[in-house]
Amino acid sequence: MSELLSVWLAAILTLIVYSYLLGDNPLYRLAQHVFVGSSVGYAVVVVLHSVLRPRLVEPLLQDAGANWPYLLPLLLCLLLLTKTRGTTAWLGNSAVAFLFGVGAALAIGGALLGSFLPQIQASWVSVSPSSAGGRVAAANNILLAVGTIGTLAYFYFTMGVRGSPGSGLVRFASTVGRWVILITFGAIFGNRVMAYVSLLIERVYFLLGDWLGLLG
Amino acid sequence: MMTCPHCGAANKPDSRFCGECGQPLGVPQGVTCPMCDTPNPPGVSVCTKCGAQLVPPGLSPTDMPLEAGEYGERAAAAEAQPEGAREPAGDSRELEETEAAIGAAEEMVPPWLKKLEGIPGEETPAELEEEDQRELSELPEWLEVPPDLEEMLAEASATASEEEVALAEIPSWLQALRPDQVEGDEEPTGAPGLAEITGLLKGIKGTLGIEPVVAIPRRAMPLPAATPSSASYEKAELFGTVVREAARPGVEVAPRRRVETLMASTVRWIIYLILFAGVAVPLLLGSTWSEANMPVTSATAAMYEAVEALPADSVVLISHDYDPGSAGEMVPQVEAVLHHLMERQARLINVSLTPEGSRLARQVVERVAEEHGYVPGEDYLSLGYVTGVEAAPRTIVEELRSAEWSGFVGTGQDPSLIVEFAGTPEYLRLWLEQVQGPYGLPMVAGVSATADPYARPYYRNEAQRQLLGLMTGLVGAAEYERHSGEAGLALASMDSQSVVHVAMVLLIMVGNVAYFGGRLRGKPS
Repeated sequence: MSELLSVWLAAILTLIVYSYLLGDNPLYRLAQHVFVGSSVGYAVVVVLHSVLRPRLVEPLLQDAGANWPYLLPLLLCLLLLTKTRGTTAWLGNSAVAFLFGVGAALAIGGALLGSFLPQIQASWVSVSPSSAGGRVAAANNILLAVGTIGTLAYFYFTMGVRGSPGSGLVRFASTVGRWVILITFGAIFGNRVMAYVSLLIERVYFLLGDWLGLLG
Repeated sequence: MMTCPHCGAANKPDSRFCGECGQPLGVPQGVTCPMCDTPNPPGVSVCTKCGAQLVPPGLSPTDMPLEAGEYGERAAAAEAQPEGAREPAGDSRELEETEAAIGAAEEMVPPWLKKLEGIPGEETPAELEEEDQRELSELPEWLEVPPDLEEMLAEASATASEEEVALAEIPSWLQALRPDQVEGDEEPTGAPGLAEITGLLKGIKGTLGIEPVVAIPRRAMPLPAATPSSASYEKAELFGTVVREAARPGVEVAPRRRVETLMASTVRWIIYLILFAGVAVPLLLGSTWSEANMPVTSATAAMYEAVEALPADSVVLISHDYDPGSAGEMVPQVEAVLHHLMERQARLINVSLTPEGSRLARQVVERVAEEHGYVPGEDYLSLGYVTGVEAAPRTIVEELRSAEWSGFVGTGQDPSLIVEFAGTPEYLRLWLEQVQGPYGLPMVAGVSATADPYARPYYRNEAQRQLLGLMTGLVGAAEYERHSGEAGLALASMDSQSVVHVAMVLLIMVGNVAYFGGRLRGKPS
């Protein structure tokens, strides 16, 4: 019974959201507010039951003497609450500084080791068919090198001024880079359209199958 | 070059406005308003900006405001002169022009104003004088002029000379403006303008700078002769014709707009219907063309091979980092990979870096586990939402190495494979940068189509093998299902996806043909 009710509720909300095709209307706004409210409410419940209770409250209640270090993050959390008032906001600065410090350190270190250096190494490719593994692979590598250099040249605004040495070469590379960027944007846009079509298919599948029972 | 009369800047000969100050340049012979300094075109009698009466150019510097009493002195001197000597030879022509202009101005008096001249009740100057005397005789006692007023004034002037008063009252900075006493008839130098001749400021130039043209009695001057060009005549004729033309009935604009709006709305709804039909019809028909003909890309095949290479009882860490907005793409991917992993008898640890992802994952995992007879807690775990963002992936891997997890993972062991399902590229990057890079763990990913361009370079990194396989969107899920030989929701949706893509390509082509066809015919877009 509850499953049937949830299917009907989901189907009606889906149709209400698609009613935006007719223009903005109160039902669409209602669905918007329901979505935002339920998302926030669900997140709060998840945080309470999956994070705070099992990872903070229960350890402290079971053995506070052994688990006293849990009080430190609790204290930092309480200090964050002081940010809600201007007169006491300075008390939360240390907690915010801790969050930003840890986040920045992890982000910078991870970006260097996980993205920056590996991707630089990955762009160092062979353009020789014999070492690249065939002519197609070599052509791919040439395309990769030209696209990378051209894109870098496009954002190198201080070079390529008329009259400076090598300006023609830099400007040509910049033009190539602009085209590479445009093609990339086109690919991103095409993928996004494909993603939205997939979402439409999923909703139509739900309406025709789960709700109306028209699909086998 | 044309010099701006306002700022003196040089402008091109054809310029209509000054490039420096923006003032109009086309009225060099016009009249500048004495009140607001606005240049006015020739022929206007009042300022076009402030409405003040304009004084025509050509006034001599002698036309300055006269002090009290000077009018009477000058008039007496003029009467004392002989008739011939009263008018200097040089001014005779100017006076004639002035009288002619006054005559012309009188002729221009409108008829309604002429009729008012004979209306009874208009008081003559003699009558006004009599009335004033009558009013003076009725003044109250306190307002009457004392008979010894002149004696009182003379006594006051004797007690304090004018110079003493000036020195006492004038501040030092103003006193500095007073010109030094010069001998003879030499003109004192100093600030330009008229010098005050009476009062405390006597002898100081440039104070109380009343605009001379304001104080000058108005004199009618002949308007400059207008010499309109033939082009101006033509424009005036055209304007007159348009003004005299009878009003024509208005064009029916509103119905056309309504029709255009209806057309645009209809076209939009036709596109909606085409897309909906493209999705619904293949689903309703149960089309299976893609199941037999869909190609599998190397990235998806590589992901399949990475899972296929896992030995039995391998521990696989799966992160569900997506939300309801991308669940339509991600859930079919999860379902296809879970089927394959459970066939390989892998033990699964499910986590999520998003609160919504844990709920969506639990539904799919429990359903697929039930099909394969997986027992929760023994064969698979659902750890739910893990907080920490950047710190969360590293925390998970570190905890799995701890002794608490030795029963499920093995003492000090890492997962054999990390499977990341990312709705946005940020979460994929977190796992790559915080776990795959530092720990060197093997990793595959299923991403939404939106995140694919950002994830592709990590798969293409053949030197470091950052991603062993990559699956993109609903299409990737369908490829995975076809490669594994288990048709599911994704593969059943591929015919709809293909039809919609073809329809969109055709619509884009039709739109381009219509647009460029309209441009060739000269119609606006």
